[in-house]
Amino acid sequence: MVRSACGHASGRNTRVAHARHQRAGVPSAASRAGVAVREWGPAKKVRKDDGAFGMKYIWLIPLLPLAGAAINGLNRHPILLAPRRGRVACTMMLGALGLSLLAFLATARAAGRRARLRRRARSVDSEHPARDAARASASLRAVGFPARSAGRADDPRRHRHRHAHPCLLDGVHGRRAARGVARFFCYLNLFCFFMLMLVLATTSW
Amino acid sequence: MFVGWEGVGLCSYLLIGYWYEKKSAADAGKKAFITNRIGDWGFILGVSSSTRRSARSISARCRTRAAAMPVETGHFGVLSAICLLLFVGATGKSAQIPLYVWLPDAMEVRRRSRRDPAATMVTAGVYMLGRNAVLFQQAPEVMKIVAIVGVLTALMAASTGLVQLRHQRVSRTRVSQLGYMFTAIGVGAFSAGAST
Repeated sequence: MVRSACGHASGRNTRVAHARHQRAGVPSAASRAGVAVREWGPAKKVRKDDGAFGMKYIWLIPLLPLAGAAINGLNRHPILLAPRRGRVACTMMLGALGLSLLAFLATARAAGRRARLRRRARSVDSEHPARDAARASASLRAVGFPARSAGRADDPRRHRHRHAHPCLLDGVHGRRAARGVARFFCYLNLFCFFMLMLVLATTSW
Repeated sequence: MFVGWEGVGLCSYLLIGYWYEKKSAADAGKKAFITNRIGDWGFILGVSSSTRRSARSISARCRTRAAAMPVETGHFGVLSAICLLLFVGATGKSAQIPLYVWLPDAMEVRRRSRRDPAATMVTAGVYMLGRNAVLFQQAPEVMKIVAIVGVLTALMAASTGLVQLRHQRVSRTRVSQLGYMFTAIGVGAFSAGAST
């Protein structure tokens, strides 16, 4: 137990135990020891946007390559010259890669938070583990990380597509770059989209 | 997953046959497409037979239900048949015996045009087997077949690569490495096979 400068006992576990004993009309260990326990303050504000950005826009990861394919395949405007078409395709893929990295970081942060909440739930009340597990999962839901999203975002195969464009772009620049580049990048972005669909699918087939 | 599976096959065909004016590229694209369709025939049959068996099988419940079924050791039941059909689909996509013929031609086109369209698609078959690990663990006879086919592919591709030209050796090496991945799946090391 850690005491603050004013002699109050700080620590969430102490406060929870003290409040429970007060409700039951039994002196708590802190009361018996003569330590004043700080009352419950206003609820700590939960930062809902903490790491949720990557999970909120996770649907963009497969859609960005699809958008690149649509731009390259459907837009025949001459302003989109060969290098620009390549840039469009690469930008879309880099955007998808960035979003997947954000989602990965958010999932890793959520996993750490989940572990902390589980540890706290175990330490707060060992007599009612089911109730504290429910409280911990409710806290998890409050910060916006459903438990089932962890497995998919941790998948290292998600980042496999990032090697495709830089390797292939070199070959294109060395040869007839101006001719048919739009078609090539359209196919390539479409390929990445379908590969992401295959990897991210929740069903087994 | 099936949508992604078919879409990847289609895009791979389009990318292999990108230089369609060249006869070799057009032929390689057609060969890849037809070979993949043969594999997809087995894949579709496997999916449809499992769907017929259970109306809700295209979901995570199928895996739970399959895990509750008895292990088909020593005989060839329905679960083994489904796994075998899924394996046929994986052989087409991942260039295993007997459906490996499209990958050397596709990589030959890649050498000439300096592009590698089939690089990512070949892992899709192994990935599908890894995703259905629960089903395959209930069918050990099919796992044996997977391991045998993987070993044969690795040996055949590596030994034929010894007498090929330098650029053709690369394609044989890739087929051989895919054989190793299938062998890992066949012996039960699903995570090792699918994450290679």
